Amino acid sequence: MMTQRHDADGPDPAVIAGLLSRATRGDERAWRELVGAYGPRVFALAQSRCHNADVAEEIMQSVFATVAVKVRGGEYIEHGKFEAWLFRVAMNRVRDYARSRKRSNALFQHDHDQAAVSADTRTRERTDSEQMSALREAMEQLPDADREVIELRHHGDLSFKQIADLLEEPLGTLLARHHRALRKLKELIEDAMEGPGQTLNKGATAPMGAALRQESRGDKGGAV
Amino acid sequence: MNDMHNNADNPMDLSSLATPQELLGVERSLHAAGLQTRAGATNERLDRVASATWAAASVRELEAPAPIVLARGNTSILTPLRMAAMLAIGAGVIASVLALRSTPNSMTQTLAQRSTTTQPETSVASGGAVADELAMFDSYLASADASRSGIDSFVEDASDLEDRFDALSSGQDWWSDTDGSATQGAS
Repeated sequence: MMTQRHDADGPDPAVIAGLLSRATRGDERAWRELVGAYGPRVFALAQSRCHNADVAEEIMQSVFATVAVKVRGGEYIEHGKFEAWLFRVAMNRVRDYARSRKRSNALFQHDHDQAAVSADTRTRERTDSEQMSALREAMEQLPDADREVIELRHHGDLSFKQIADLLEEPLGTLLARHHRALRKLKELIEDAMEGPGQTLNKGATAPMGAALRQESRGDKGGAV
Repeated sequence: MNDMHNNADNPMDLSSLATPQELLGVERSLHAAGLQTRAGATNERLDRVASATWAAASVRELEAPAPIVLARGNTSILTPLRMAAMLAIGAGVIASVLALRSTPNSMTQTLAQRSTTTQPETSVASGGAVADELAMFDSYLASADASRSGIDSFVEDASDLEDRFDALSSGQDWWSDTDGSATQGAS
């Protein structure tokens, strides 16, 4: 069973080092705890790109399979960079998926993805605020580089420093890119709400649009 | 916005500085989306992934590295019978070498003869050393004689066996040892 889940404070590096050490020695429970600690973030990173829980699980499994083989085979030496390594592997897997998806028929893939969404996800999507689908549509229109930063930050839950290391970019450049991506997202959502003939459903994006307009007028809004 | 992320106390995390107020709504929505997608990783999924990946890694670990063997196609050249034969040959070679080393050869005999001839000695000590060497060569020669006598007896036995075999092959023994009536009928 998963005994440790990612919480607001993040995994303790000392605890992670201990789990890695135990997993290297063949302790399956330690491995399960590692998957429990990082799995949700890796899953979210994949899910944000493929919008399909089953595909996201496959990507997550591929990532952890790579890591497990290295850890059990003694090829990984812990220097406190496990998280960076894990997300590098995850990012590469997500990129691979994105490339293969682009190569295939985008329309078919989209339909396929939508058809493959599991029942629980479908139910959740119906009851969720439509803001999420509006945001997702906007995310699809972001350049890949900007989108990666957003996904690593908000789905992978990495710090900007970690993202900068991962993408091998200066921190300032990364922050600027993140800021630009946020602004672009805001514009895309507002355009979708106000412009005719857009793919976004006006009604669906209304709550977010209202919130954005309020903030533009200086209303900072309440808590999340 | 700092409380939205797990690294809010990180001095390198400049999200709050980098996000102007007008973009907070978007960032808030992104944060909510992140929470939602992370929640999609149910315990069931995590258990499944943990089990599958651990099993995969265990299988890899159990797979021994490929042994370095000579193989022809899928069949190893080193069958048990061939390995036994190779070991026997190797043992024979080693025994031959040891036998050669323990038997004084012509060179050692020559050295022994040279040692027995008178040589000018430079000191008493060197004379003692030569005497030791001579004694050692004498023992070598004695053992060689013993070995040779053993070999001679072996050769003699072998010669007798050969003669008997020849006699059996020609049938002379049969004629001489029996009255011939039964064996003639048989032959």
